[in-house]
Amino acid sequence: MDKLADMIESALKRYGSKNIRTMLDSEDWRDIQARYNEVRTELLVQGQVELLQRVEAGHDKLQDKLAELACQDDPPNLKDVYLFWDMPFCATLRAMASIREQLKTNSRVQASKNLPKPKASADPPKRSWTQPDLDEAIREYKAKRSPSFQQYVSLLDDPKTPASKKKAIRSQASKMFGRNVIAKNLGVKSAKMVSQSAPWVAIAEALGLERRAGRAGTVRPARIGHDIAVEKASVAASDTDEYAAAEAAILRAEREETLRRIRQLAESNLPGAKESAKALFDEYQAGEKTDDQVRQTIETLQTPV
Amino acid sequence: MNSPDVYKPERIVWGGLPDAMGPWVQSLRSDRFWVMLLDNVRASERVRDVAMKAVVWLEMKGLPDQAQKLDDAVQSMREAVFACRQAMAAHGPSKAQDVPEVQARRDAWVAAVEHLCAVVGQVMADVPPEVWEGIDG
Repeated sequence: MDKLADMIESALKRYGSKNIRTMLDSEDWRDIQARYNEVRTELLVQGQVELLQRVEAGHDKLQDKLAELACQDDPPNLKDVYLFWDMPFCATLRAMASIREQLKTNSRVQASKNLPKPKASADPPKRSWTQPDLDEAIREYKAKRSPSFQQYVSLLDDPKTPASKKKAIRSQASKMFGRNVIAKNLGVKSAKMVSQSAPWVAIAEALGLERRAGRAGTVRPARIGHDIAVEKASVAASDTDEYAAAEAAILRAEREETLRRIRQLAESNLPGAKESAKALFDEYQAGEKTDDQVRQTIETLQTPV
Repeated sequence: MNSPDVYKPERIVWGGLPDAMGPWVQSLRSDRFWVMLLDNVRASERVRDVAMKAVVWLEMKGLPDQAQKLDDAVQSMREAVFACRQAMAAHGPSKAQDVPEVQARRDAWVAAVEHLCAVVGQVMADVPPEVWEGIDG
């Protein structure tokens, strides 16, 4: 929480009032939003509704004021705006950080001790599929991972995304939507059937994934010559900060999605939803559960018996 | 035992806040005020931080009304500090004390601190003592 306050103050200092729009579009601000969502999730699973509302109201007020300043041609110095001089949102976060241990011990929700074992923890046994069934299963697979898919596509379609970053995004996307990964996840005996599946071909085209051994990711349509050249050049480039940044952006998106699902579970009417959400959040934060394990457990909890 | 000093960067506990605020009000009323603007602004931050801790503590304990009362008083104090700071900056520190507008802002600052002090005392009296157990670590 105090880290979030530090991040906000440091970003405001770095960008200043003249570059608010740049700040709001920056990776720094996305990191801040991700951290903010983590704080929200923590308060929600602890059942601290009043504190959650206070934090959300403070955040929204700050965000609104920033949006207002971003529209001004000649914005005032931040220190001349009461909200930025006082930073009540950051003061609240720091106050919460100073009683963090007590917040944990005063949690109004007891973490569930009986979380179900995720059904999909092991890969399903391989079996024969008919092509229409497999097509349907791939569509469903994609639908379940729709936020990640959309995130990848929007990053790849963004002309401002550097080629080296696109390479990293494709590499990450292939870990989720690659032919062999899908074949393994769905228990498909012949991976070739995945290659022949129209829904998978559409996914691979949208993400620019390799569709045959030896062919680099050049299947994305409407690629202009310069872009291809840059792309080829980036293949030879060594790992860069941009690569690391792209990877960080994807990991952040994954984390955001997992936290969103935990919040969704906590706010649902399922019996013991809050207790389960708290247990999952605690285990996730402690690194005892991966994104996939958390999501699979939530799916199991949401599946009617 | 000496009262905690809001001008020193030492830790002020919630239970010691009223004792710290009394001498601060006196200092704000004195002529030293005009040469101690920055110190007083920092002091207001320290006081705000202690009071905000109590605000989130009260929220955590399920007492949002008391939290809101305290929060409102803190915000009023900080707004008064900001207004006075802006007025002093506009007139320049050397002339500020002769400007009625700035003097009025200083009075408003003192009044806001006194009000906050009263609210702190009231909240301490109204909230059962066991609620505060653990707040000062």
